[in-house]
Amino acid sequence: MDIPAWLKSLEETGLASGIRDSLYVFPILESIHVMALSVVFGTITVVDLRLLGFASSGRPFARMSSELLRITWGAFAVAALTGTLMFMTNARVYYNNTPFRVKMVLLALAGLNMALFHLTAGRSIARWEKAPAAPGIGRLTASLSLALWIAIVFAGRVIGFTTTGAQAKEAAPAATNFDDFLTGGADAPAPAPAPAPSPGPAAASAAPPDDPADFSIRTIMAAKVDPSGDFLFESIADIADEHGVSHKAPRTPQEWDAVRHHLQVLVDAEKLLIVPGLKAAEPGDRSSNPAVENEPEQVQKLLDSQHPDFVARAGRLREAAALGLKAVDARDTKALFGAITAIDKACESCHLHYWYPNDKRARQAAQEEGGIVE
Amino acid sequence: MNDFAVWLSTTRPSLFLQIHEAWMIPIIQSVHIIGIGLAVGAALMMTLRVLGWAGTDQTVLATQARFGPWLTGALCLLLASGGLLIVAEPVRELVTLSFWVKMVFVATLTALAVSFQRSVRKQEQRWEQTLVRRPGVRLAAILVFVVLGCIILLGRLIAYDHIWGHLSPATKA
Repeated sequence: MDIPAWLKSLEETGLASGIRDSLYVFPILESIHVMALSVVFGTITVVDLRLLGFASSGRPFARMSSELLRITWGAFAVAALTGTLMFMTNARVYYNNTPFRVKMVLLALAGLNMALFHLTAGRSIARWEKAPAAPGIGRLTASLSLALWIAIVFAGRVIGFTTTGAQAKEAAPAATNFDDFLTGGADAPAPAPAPAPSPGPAAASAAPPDDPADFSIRTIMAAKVDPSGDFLFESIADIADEHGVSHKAPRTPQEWDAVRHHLQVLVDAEKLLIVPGLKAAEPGDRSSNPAVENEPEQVQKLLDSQHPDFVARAGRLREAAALGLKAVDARDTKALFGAITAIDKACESCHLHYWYPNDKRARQAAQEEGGIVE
Repeated sequence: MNDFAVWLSTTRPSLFLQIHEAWMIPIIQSVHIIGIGLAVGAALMMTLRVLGWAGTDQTVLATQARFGPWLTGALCLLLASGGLLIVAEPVRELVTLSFWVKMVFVATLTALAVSFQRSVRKQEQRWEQTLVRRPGVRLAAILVFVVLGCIILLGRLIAYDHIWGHLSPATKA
Protein backbone atom coordinates (compact mmCIF):
# COMPACT_ATOMS: atom_id res chain seq x y z
CA MET A 1 0.00 0.00 0.00
CA ASP A 2 1.18 3.49 -0.77
CA ILE A 3 1.37 4.95 2.71
CA PRO A 4 2.26 8.57 1.80
CA ALA A 5 -0.64 8.70 -0.66
CA TRP A 6 -3.00 7.30 1.93
CA LEU A 7 -1.76 9.81 4.52
CA LYS A 8 -2.23 12.62 2.01
CA SER A 9 -5.79 11.49 1.37
CA LEU A 10 -6.36 11.52 5.14
CA GLU A 11 -5.17 15.13 5.25
CA GLU A 12 -7.49 16.00 2.39
CA THR A 13 -10.66 14.68 4.02
CA GLY A 14 -13.27 17.28 4.86
CA LEU A 15 -12.88 16.41 8.53
CA ALA A 16 -9.13 17.08 8.54
CA SER A 17 -9.33 20.32 6.61
CA GLY A 18 -12.26 21.45 8.78
CA ILE A 19 -10.12 20.99 11.90
CA ARG A 20 -7.14 22.72 10.27
CA ASP A 21 -9.16 25.68 9.12
CA SER A 22 -10.85 26.29 12.44
CA LEU A 23 -9.10 28.45 14.95
CA TYR A 24 -10.69 26.63 17.86
CA VAL A 25 -10.97 22.93 17.13
CA PHE A 26 -7.32 21.89 17.29
CA PRO A 27 -6.59 23.59 20.64
CA ILE A 28 -9.76 22.07 22.08
CA LEU A 29 -8.84 18.60 20.78
CA GLU A 30 -5.40 19.01 22.31
CA SER A 31 -6.90 20.03 25.66
CA ILE A 32 -9.30 17.07 25.68
CA HIS A 33 -6.34 14.83 24.78
CA VAL A 34 -4.44 16.13 27.84
CA MET A 35 -7.50 15.66 30.10
CA ALA A 36 -7.98 12.10 28.86
CA LEU A 37 -4.31 11.17 29.14
CA SER A 38 -4.12 12.59 32.65
CA VAL A 39 -6.99 10.30 33.66
CA VAL A 40 -5.28 7.34 31.93
CA PHE A 41 -1.96 8.13 33.59
CA GLY A 42 -3.49 8.92 36.99
CA THR A 43 -5.55 5.72 37.23
CA ILE A 44 -2.78 3.49 35.87
CA THR A 45 -0.40 4.95 38.45
CA VAL A 46 -2.83 4.12 41.26
CA VAL A 47 -3.11 0.51 40.06
CA ASP A 48 0.66 0.15 39.47
CA LEU A 49 1.53 1.53 42.90
CA ARG A 50 -0.89 -0.98 44.43
CA LEU A 51 0.82 -3.82 42.54
CA LEU A 52 4.20 -2.60 43.74
CA GLY A 53 2.94 -2.43 47.31
CA PHE A 54 3.79 1.28 47.63
CA ALA A 55 0.24 2.50 48.23
CA SER A 56 -3.28 1.18 48.83
CA SER A 57 -1.56 -2.06 49.84
CA GLY A 58 -4.42 -2.99 52.17
CA ARG A 59 -7.05 -3.00 49.42
CA PRO A 60 -8.03 -6.19 47.59
CA PHE A 61 -6.65 -5.84 44.07
CA ALA A 62 -9.43 -7.33 41.95
CA ARG A 63 -12.17 -4.91 42.93
CA MET A 64 -9.92 -1.87 42.86
CA SER A 65 -8.49 -2.65 39.43
CA SER A 66 -11.85 -3.50 37.86
CA GLU A 67 -13.35 -0.25 39.17
CA LEU A 68 -10.45 1.83 37.90
CA LEU A 69 -9.61 0.13 34.62
CA ARG A 70 -13.11 0.86 33.31
CA ILE A 71 -12.28 4.53 33.70
CA THR A 72 -8.81 4.04 32.24
CA TRP A 73 -10.21 2.41 29.10
CA GLY A 74 -12.90 5.03 28.67
CA ALA A 75 -10.33 7.82 28.94
CA PHE A 76 -7.97 5.91 26.64
CA ALA A 77 -10.69 5.75 24.00
CA VAL A 78 -11.13 9.53 24.24
CA ALA A 79 -7.37 10.07 23.98
CA ALA A 80 -7.14 7.73 20.99
CA LEU A 81 -10.02 9.49 19.23
CA THR A 82 -8.68 13.02 19.81
CA GLY A 83 -5.19 11.80 18.94
CA THR A 84 -6.41 10.33 15.65
CA LEU A 85 -8.21 13.55 14.74
CA MET A 86 -5.09 15.60 15.44
CA PHE A 87 -3.01 13.12 13.43
CA MET A 88 -5.30 13.48 10.41
CA THR A 89 -4.74 17.22 10.15
CA ASN A 90 -1.07 16.77 9.31
CA ALA A 91 -0.70 13.02 8.80
CA ARG A 92 2.46 12.99 6.67
CA VAL A 93 4.36 15.23 9.06
CA TYR A 94 3.38 13.16 12.11
CA TYR A 95 4.09 9.91 10.30
CA ASN A 96 7.64 11.05 9.56
CA ASN A 97 8.16 12.56 13.01
CA THR A 98 10.53 10.51 15.18
CA PRO A 99 8.97 11.36 18.58
CA PHE A 100 5.57 10.38 17.15
CA ARG A 101 6.95 7.03 16.02
CA VAL A 102 8.64 6.52 19.37
CA LYS A 103 5.36 7.25 21.12
CA MET A 104 3.49 4.70 18.98
CA VAL A 105 6.13 2.05 19.70
CA LEU A 106 5.94 2.83 23.42
CA LEU A 107 2.13 2.52 23.32
CA ALA A 108 2.48 -0.86 21.64
CA LEU A 109 5.00 -1.91 24.31
CA ALA A 110 2.60 -0.76 27.04
CA GLY A 111 -0.05 -2.98 25.42
CA LEU A 112 2.33 -5.95 25.32
CA ASN A 113 3.30 -5.30 28.92
CA MET A 114 -0.37 -5.39 29.89
CA ALA A 115 -0.79 -8.68 28.03
CA LEU A 116 2.24 -10.03 29.87
CA PHE A 117 0.61 -9.14 33.19
CA HIS A 118 -2.66 -10.84 32.25
CA LEU A 119 -0.84 -13.99 31.10
CA THR A 120 1.21 -14.24 34.29
CA ALA A 121 0.34 -12.62 37.62
CA GLY A 122 -3.10 -11.73 36.28
CA ARG A 123 -4.06 -15.43 36.22
CA SER A 124 -3.61 -15.91 39.91
CA ILE A 125 -5.03 -12.65 41.31
CA ALA A 126 -7.27 -14.55 43.73
CA ARG A 127 -4.18 -16.05 45.34
CA TRP A 128 -2.30 -12.81 46.02
CA GLU A 129 -4.85 -10.03 45.87
CA LYS A 130 -4.94 -9.56 49.64
CA ALA A 131 -1.15 -9.52 49.93
CA PRO A 132 0.48 -6.07 50.21
CA ALA A 133 2.16 -6.46 46.81
CA ALA A 134 1.87 -8.56 43.67
CA PRO A 135 4.29 -11.44 42.97
CA GLY A 136 7.61 -10.64 41.25
CA ILE A 137 6.39 -10.69 37.67
CA GLY A 138 3.42 -8.48 38.62
CA ARG A 139 5.75 -5.96 40.23
CA LEU A 140 7.97 -6.06 37.16
CA THR A 141 5.08 -5.32 34.80
CA ALA A 142 3.91 -2.53 37.14
CA SER A 143 7.36 -0.88 37.05
CA LEU A 144 7.51 -1.24 33.27
CA SER A 145 4.03 0.22 32.99
CA LEU A 146 4.97 3.32 35.02
CA ALA A 147 8.18 3.82 33.03
CA LEU A 148 6.43 3.35 29.70
CA TRP A 149 3.61 5.76 30.49
CA ILE A 150 5.99 8.44 31.73
CA ALA A 151 7.97 8.00 28.51
CA ILE A 152 4.75 8.20 26.48
CA VAL A 153 3.92 11.57 28.07
CA PHE A 154 7.42 12.87 27.25
CA ALA A 155 7.36 11.61 23.67
CA GLY A 156 3.89 13.07 23.19
CA ARG A 157 4.95 16.49 24.40
CA VAL A 158 8.06 16.49 22.21
CA ILE A 159 5.90 15.85 19.11
CA GLY A 160 4.48 19.35 19.45
CA PHE A 161 7.97 20.84 19.55
CA THR A 162 9.31 18.94 16.57
CA THR A 163 6.41 19.31 14.18
CA THR A 164 5.94 23.09 14.35
CA GLY A 165 7.64 24.44 11.28
CA ALA A 166 8.08 20.89 10.00
CA GLN A 167 5.11 21.59 7.80
CA ALA A 168 7.24 23.98 5.83
CA LYS A 169 10.09 21.51 5.57
CA GLU A 170 7.73 18.78 4.47
CA ALA A 171 6.09 20.95 1.86
CA ALA A 172 9.43 21.99 0.45
CA PRO A 173 11.76 19.00 0.38
CA ALA A 174 15.33 19.59 -0.73
CA ALA A 175 14.45 18.55 -4.24
CA THR A 176 11.80 21.22 -4.68
CA ASN A 177 12.64 23.30 -7.70
CA PHE A 178 11.82 26.87 -6.80
CA ASP A 179 12.73 28.00 -10.29
CA ASP A 180 9.84 25.96 -11.67
CA PHE A 181 7.64 27.59 -9.16
CA LEU A 182 8.88 31.02 -10.10
CA THR A 183 8.33 30.55 -13.82
CA GLY A 184 5.13 28.55 -13.37
CA GLY A 185 3.34 30.71 -10.81
CA ALA A 186 0.39 32.56 -12.28
CA ASP A 187 1.56 35.92 -11.02
CA ALA A 188 5.23 35.41 -11.67
CA PRO A 189 7.08 37.58 -14.16
CA ALA A 190 6.50 36.17 -17.61
CA PRO A 191 9.06 33.46 -18.25
CA ALA A 192 10.79 32.87 -21.53
CA PRO A 193 8.69 30.42 -23.49
CA ALA A 194 9.78 26.92 -22.63
CA PRO A 195 10.68 24.57 -25.45
CA ALA A 196 7.79 22.31 -26.33
CA PRO A 197 8.03 19.23 -24.18
CA SER A 198 8.97 16.13 -26.06
CA PRO A 199 6.51 13.29 -25.63
CA GLY A 200 7.50 10.30 -23.57
CA PRO A 201 9.25 10.22 -20.23
CA ALA A 202 10.21 13.89 -20.37
CA ALA A 203 6.53 14.83 -20.43
CA ALA A 204 6.47 14.31 -16.70
CA SER A 205 8.68 17.35 -16.22
CA ALA A 206 6.21 19.46 -18.16
CA ALA A 207 3.48 18.70 -15.66
CA PRO A 208 2.24 21.86 -13.99
CA PRO A 209 4.34 22.75 -10.97
CA ASP A 210 2.93 21.96 -7.59
CA ASP A 211 0.00 24.03 -6.52
CA PRO A 212 1.41 27.49 -5.64
CA ALA A 213 -0.47 27.17 -2.37
CA ASP A 214 2.26 24.69 -1.40
CA PHE A 215 4.71 27.59 -1.39
CA SER A 216 4.83 30.61 0.79
CA ILE A 217 7.31 33.05 2.22
CA ARG A 218 7.55 30.72 5.17
CA THR A 219 8.50 27.72 3.03
CA ILE A 220 11.10 29.74 1.13
CA MET A 221 12.51 30.98 4.42
CA ALA A 222 12.58 27.46 5.88
CA ALA A 223 14.01 25.77 2.80
CA LYS A 224 16.50 28.36 1.57
CA VAL A 225 17.00 31.59 3.47
CA ASP A 226 17.14 30.25 6.99
CA PRO A 227 19.61 27.37 6.41
CA SER A 228 21.91 29.57 4.31
CA GLY A 229 21.67 32.44 6.79
CA ASP A 230 22.53 30.10 9.65
CA PHE A 231 25.49 28.74 7.73
CA LEU A 232 26.80 32.25 7.09
CA PHE A 233 26.32 33.43 10.66
CA GLU A 234 28.25 30.36 11.82
CA SER A 235 31.00 30.78 9.28
CA ILE A 236 32.47 33.98 10.56
CA ALA A 237 32.68 35.26 14.10
CA ASP A 238 34.79 36.84 16.77
CA ILE A 239 34.89 34.26 19.53
CA ALA A 240 35.68 35.47 23.02
CA ASP A 241 36.27 32.66 25.48
CA GLU A 242 38.73 31.54 28.12
CA HIS A 243 41.42 31.40 25.41
CA GLY A 244 40.99 35.07 24.59
CA VAL A 245 39.52 36.53 21.42
CA SER A 246 39.91 34.48 18.27
CA HIS A 247 38.54 34.93 14.79
CA LYS A 248 36.58 32.34 12.94
CA ALA A 249 36.60 32.77 9.17
CA PRO A 250 36.78 30.67 6.02
CA ARG A 251 40.34 29.55 5.28
CA THR A 252 40.46 26.76 2.70
CA PRO A 253 39.18 27.21 -0.88
CA GLN A 254 36.40 24.75 -0.06
CA GLU A 255 35.30 26.88 2.88
CA TRP A 256 35.28 30.03 0.76
CA ASP A 257 33.27 28.18 -1.91
CA ALA A 258 30.72 27.05 0.64
CA VAL A 259 30.29 30.62 1.89
CA ARG A 260 29.96 31.82 -1.69
CA HIS A 261 27.27 29.21 -2.40
CA HIS A 262 25.16 30.30 0.57
CA LEU A 263 25.55 33.98 -0.27
CA GLN A 264 24.34 33.19 -3.78
CA VAL A 265 21.30 31.42 -2.30
CA LEU A 266 20.41 34.65 -0.46
CA VAL A 267 20.94 36.77 -3.59
CA ASP A 268 18.64 34.43 -5.52
CA ALA A 269 16.08 34.23 -2.74
CA GLU A 270 15.07 37.84 -3.32
CA LYS A 271 13.26 37.15 -6.56
CA LEU A 272 11.36 34.27 -4.95
CA LEU A 273 10.32 36.33 -1.96
CA ILE A 274 8.95 39.25 -3.97
CA VAL A 275 6.72 37.23 -6.30
CA PRO A 276 3.45 39.18 -6.29
CA GLY A 277 0.64 37.39 -4.53
CA LEU A 278 2.95 35.03 -2.66
CA LYS A 279 1.31 34.12 0.66
CA ALA A 280 2.99 34.59 4.04
CA ALA A 281 2.38 30.98 5.10
CA GLU A 282 0.39 27.87 4.27
CA PRO A 283 -3.23 27.60 5.31
CA GLY A 284 -3.31 26.17 8.80
CA ASP A 285 0.15 27.40 9.78
CA ARG A 286 0.11 28.92 13.23
CA SER A 287 2.66 30.87 15.18
CA SER A 288 4.40 28.74 17.78
CA ASN A 289 4.90 31.80 19.96
CA PRO A 290 1.82 33.99 19.52
CA ALA A 291 2.61 36.10 22.59
CA VAL A 292 5.23 38.00 20.62
CA GLU A 293 4.81 36.84 17.04
CA ASN A 294 2.26 37.91 14.50
CA GLU A 295 0.00 35.18 13.21
CA PRO A 296 0.24 34.39 9.47
CA GLU A 297 -2.93 36.37 8.75
CA GLN A 298 -1.50 39.45 10.49
CA VAL A 299 1.73 39.11 8.52
CA GLN A 300 -0.37 38.71 5.39
CA LYS A 301 -2.28 41.90 6.13
CA LEU A 302 0.95 43.85 6.54
CA LEU A 303 2.35 42.33 3.33
CA ASP A 304 -0.77 43.15 1.35
CA SER A 305 -0.89 46.74 2.54
CA GLN A 306 2.80 47.53 2.07
CA HIS A 307 4.21 45.19 -0.52
CA PRO A 308 6.63 47.82 -1.94
CA ASP A 309 8.17 48.10 1.53
CA PHE A 310 8.62 44.33 1.66
CA VAL A 311 10.21 44.37 -1.79
CA ALA A 312 12.63 47.08 -0.63
CA ARG A 313 13.56 45.03 2.42
CA ALA A 314 14.14 41.93 0.30
CA GLY A 315 16.34 44.14 -1.86
CA ARG A 316 18.42 45.03 1.19
CA LEU A 317 18.99 41.34 1.80
CA ARG A 318 20.16 40.87 -1.79
CA GLU A 319 22.44 43.92 -1.63
CA ALA A 320 24.06 42.72 1.58
CA ALA A 321 24.56 39.23 0.16
CA ALA A 322 25.99 40.68 -3.08
CA LEU A 323 28.51 42.66 -0.99
CA GLY A 324 29.42 39.36 0.60
CA LEU A 325 30.05 37.78 -2.81
CA LYS A 326 32.47 40.59 -3.66
CA ALA A 327 34.22 40.09 -0.33
CA VAL A 328 34.54 36.35 -1.01
CA ASP A 329 36.01 36.97 -4.44
CA ALA A 330 38.54 39.36 -2.88
CA ARG A 331 39.13 36.88 0.01
CA ASP A 332 38.50 39.85 2.30
CA THR A 333 37.51 38.50 5.72
CA LYS A 334 36.80 41.92 7.17
CA ALA A 335 34.49 42.91 4.32
CA LEU A 336 32.80 39.52 4.58
CA PHE A 337 32.18 40.12 8.27
CA GLY A 338 30.62 43.49 7.42
CA ALA A 339 28.42 41.94 4.75
CA ILE A 340 27.21 39.16 7.02
CA THR A 341 26.43 41.72 9.73
CA ALA A 342 24.42 43.63 7.14
CA ILE A 343 22.58 40.41 6.22
CA ASP A 344 21.77 39.87 9.89
CA LYS A 345 20.39 43.39 10.19
CA ALA A 346 18.37 43.05 6.99
CA CYS A 347 16.80 39.85 8.33
CA GLU A 348 16.18 41.15 11.82
CA SER A 349 14.68 44.50 10.86
CA CYS A 350 12.30 42.87 8.39
CA HIS A 351 11.33 40.20 10.95
CA LEU A 352 10.73 42.90 13.54
CA HIS A 353 8.49 44.75 11.13
CA TYR A 354 6.39 41.86 9.81
CA TRP A 355 6.88 38.87 12.05
CA TYR A 356 7.47 39.74 15.71
CA PRO A 357 6.87 43.47 16.17
CA ASN A 358 5.82 42.79 19.78
CA ASP A 359 9.12 41.26 20.77
CA LYS A 360 10.43 44.03 22.97
CA ARG A 361 13.69 42.31 23.74
CA ALA A 362 14.53 41.70 20.09
CA ARG A 363 13.58 45.29 19.25
CA GLN A 364 15.76 46.66 22.00
CA ALA A 365 18.70 44.51 20.93
CA ALA A 366 18.26 45.58 17.32
CA GLN A 367 18.13 49.25 18.32
CA GLU A 368 21.29 48.91 20.37
CA GLU A 369 23.05 47.42 17.38
CA GLY A 370 21.63 50.03 15.05
CA GLY A 371 19.85 47.27 13.20
CA ILE A 372 16.44 48.84 12.74
CA VAL A 373 16.27 50.52 9.40
CA GLU A 374 12.91 52.22 9.32
CA MET B 1 3.14 43.13 34.36
CA ASN B 2 4.50 43.39 30.83
CA ASP B 3 7.52 45.24 32.16
CA PHE B 4 8.00 42.66 34.89
CA ALA B 5 7.78 39.86 32.33
CA VAL B 6 10.34 41.55 30.12
CA TRP B 7 12.60 42.16 33.12
CA LEU B 8 12.26 38.54 34.25
CA SER B 9 13.18 37.37 30.78
CA THR B 10 16.53 39.17 31.09
CA THR B 11 17.50 37.56 34.40
CA ARG B 12 20.18 34.92 34.57
CA PRO B 13 18.00 31.85 35.35
CA SER B 14 15.57 32.85 32.63
CA LEU B 15 18.34 33.30 30.10
CA PHE B 16 19.77 29.92 31.07
CA LEU B 17 16.42 28.25 30.40
CA GLN B 18 15.96 30.21 27.18
CA ILE B 19 19.37 29.18 25.88
CA HIS B 20 18.59 25.54 26.59
CA GLU B 21 14.92 25.82 25.73
CA ALA B 22 15.11 23.21 22.97
CA TRP B 23 15.39 20.59 25.70
CA MET B 24 14.40 22.31 28.91
CA ILE B 25 10.92 23.39 27.93
CA PRO B 26 9.65 20.05 26.60
CA ILE B 27 11.14 18.32 29.66
CA ILE B 28 9.62 20.74 32.16
CA GLN B 29 6.31 20.65 30.34
CA SER B 30 6.32 16.84 30.40
CA VAL B 31 7.03 16.84 34.15
CA HIS B 32 4.15 19.31 34.47
CA ILE B 33 1.83 16.93 32.60
CA ILE B 34 2.97 13.99 34.77
CA GLY B 35 2.04 16.20 37.75
CA ILE B 36 -1.37 16.86 36.20
CA GLY B 37 -1.85 13.12 35.75
CA LEU B 38 -1.04 12.49 39.43
CA ALA B 39 -3.29 15.32 40.59
CA VAL B 40 -6.16 14.17 38.39
CA GLY B 41 -5.72 10.57 39.53
CA ALA B 42 -5.74 11.52 43.21
CA ALA B 43 -8.65 13.96 42.87
CA LEU B 44 -10.57 11.37 40.85
CA MET B 45 -10.20 8.73 43.56
CA MET B 46 -11.47 11.09 46.26
CA THR B 47 -14.38 12.46 44.27
CA LEU B 48 -15.48 9.01 43.07
CA ARG B 49 -15.44 7.87 46.69
CA VAL B 50 -17.52 10.85 47.83
CA LEU B 51 -19.96 10.19 45.00
CA GLY B 52 -20.00 6.48 45.91
CA TRP B 53 -19.04 5.44 42.36
CA ALA B 54 -15.79 3.67 43.26
CA GLY B 55 -13.69 2.68 46.25
CA THR B 56 -16.68 2.23 48.56
CA ASP B 57 -14.85 -0.59 50.36
CA GLN B 58 -12.82 2.20 51.99
CA THR B 59 -14.02 4.95 54.31
CA VAL B 60 -13.95 8.55 53.14
CA LEU B 61 -11.29 9.26 55.74
CA ALA B 62 -9.13 6.34 54.55
CA THR B 63 -9.51 7.47 50.96
CA GLN B 64 -8.56 11.00 51.92
CA ALA B 65 -5.58 9.73 53.90
CA ARG B 66 -4.43 7.66 50.92
CA PHE B 67 -4.85 10.24 48.16
CA GLY B 68 -4.80 13.63 49.92
CA PRO B 69 -1.00 13.69 50.31
CA TRP B 70 -0.61 12.64 46.66
CA LEU B 71 -2.80 15.56 45.59
CA THR B 72 -0.74 17.92 47.76
CA GLY B 73 2.48 16.45 46.38
CA ALA B 74 1.25 16.71 42.81
CA LEU B 75 0.23 20.34 43.38
CA CYS B 76 3.72 21.11 44.70
CA LEU B 77 5.28 19.44 41.65
CA LEU B 78 2.94 21.48 39.45
CA LEU B 79 3.82 24.73 41.20
CA ALA B 80 7.54 24.00 40.90
CA SER B 81 7.47 22.96 37.23
CA GLY B 82 4.97 25.71 36.42
CA GLY B 83 7.22 28.25 38.16
CA LEU B 84 10.15 27.12 36.02
CA LEU B 85 8.01 27.48 32.91
CA ILE B 86 7.19 31.06 33.90
CA VAL B 87 10.88 31.82 34.40
CA ALA B 88 11.66 30.18 31.05
CA GLU B 89 8.99 32.02 29.08
CA PRO B 90 7.85 35.00 31.15
CA VAL B 91 6.40 36.95 28.27
CA ARG B 92 4.46 33.98 26.95
CA GLU B 93 2.98 33.17 30.37
CA LEU B 94 2.52 36.39 32.28
CA VAL B 95 0.85 38.48 29.62
CA THR B 96 -1.68 35.88 28.51
CA LEU B 97 -5.26 35.97 29.68
CA SER B 98 -5.42 32.15 29.71
CA PHE B 99 -2.64 32.04 32.28
CA TRP B 100 -4.36 34.38 34.74
CA VAL B 101 -7.78 32.76 34.41
CA LYS B 102 -6.05 29.42 34.95
CA MET B 103 -4.49 30.77 38.18
CA VAL B 104 -7.98 31.69 39.44
CA PHE B 105 -9.08 28.10 38.87
CA VAL B 106 -5.93 26.74 40.52
CA ALA B 107 -6.71 28.85 43.60
CA THR B 108 -10.30 27.54 43.55
CA LEU B 109 -9.13 23.93 43.35
CA THR B 110 -6.65 24.44 46.18
CA ALA B 111 -9.37 26.00 48.37
CA LEU B 112 -11.74 23.10 47.63
CA ALA B 113 -9.05 20.52 48.42
CA VAL B 114 -7.99 22.21 51.66
CA SER B 115 -11.55 22.62 52.92
CA PHE B 116 -12.38 19.00 52.04
CA GLN B 117 -9.31 17.76 53.92
CA ARG B 118 -10.08 19.81 57.03
CA SER B 119 -13.72 18.91 57.03
CA VAL B 120 -13.06 15.16 56.70
CA ARG B 121 -10.68 15.24 59.64
CA LYS B 122 -12.99 17.24 61.88
CA GLN B 123 -16.29 15.61 61.07
CA GLU B 124 -15.30 12.08 60.22
CA GLN B 125 -18.57 10.47 61.28
CA ARG B 126 -20.77 12.95 59.46
CA TRP B 127 -18.81 12.42 56.24
CA GLU B 128 -19.20 8.65 56.29
CA GLN B 129 -22.93 8.73 56.89
CA THR B 130 -24.73 11.92 56.01
CA LEU B 131 -22.53 14.37 54.15
CA VAL B 132 -21.84 12.09 51.20
CA ARG B 133 -25.55 12.04 50.51
CA ARG B 134 -25.98 15.79 50.62
CA PRO B 135 -26.57 17.26 47.14
CA GLY B 136 -24.33 20.26 47.83
CA VAL B 137 -21.41 18.00 48.71
CA ARG B 138 -21.95 15.85 45.65
CA LEU B 139 -22.15 18.97 43.52
CA ALA B 140 -18.85 20.18 44.99
CA ALA B 141 -17.27 16.83 44.09
CA ILE B 142 -18.38 17.24 40.49
CA LEU B 143 -17.24 20.86 40.59
CA VAL B 144 -13.71 19.64 41.37
CA PHE B 145 -13.74 17.88 38.01
CA VAL B 146 -15.05 20.86 36.14
CA VAL B 147 -12.35 23.03 37.75
CA LEU B 148 -9.64 20.47 36.87
CA GLY B 149 -10.93 20.34 33.29
CA CYS B 150 -10.85 24.15 33.06
CA ILE B 151 -7.30 24.23 34.44
CA ILE B 152 -6.12 21.76 31.79
CA LEU B 153 -8.00 23.56 29.03
CA LEU B 154 -6.62 26.97 30.01
CA GLY B 155 -3.14 25.55 30.48
CA ARG B 156 -3.17 24.32 26.89
CA LEU B 157 -4.75 27.56 25.70
CA ILE B 158 -1.76 29.57 26.93
CA ALA B 159 -0.17 28.41 23.69
CA TYR B 160 -3.21 29.62 21.76
CA ASP B 161 -3.89 32.88 23.53
CA HIS B 162 -4.44 34.66 20.21
CA ILE B 163 -7.88 33.03 20.09
CA TRP B 164 -9.32 34.99 22.93
CA GLY B 165 -6.42 36.88 24.48
CA HIS B 166 -7.75 40.16 23.04
CA LEU B 167 -10.52 40.00 25.66
CA SER B 168 -7.85 40.54 28.30
CA PRO B 169 -8.29 43.83 30.16
CA ALA B 170 -4.50 44.30 29.95
CA THR B 171 -4.61 44.40 26.16
CA LYS B 172 -7.39 46.97 26.16
CA ALA B 173 -5.62 49.27 28.55
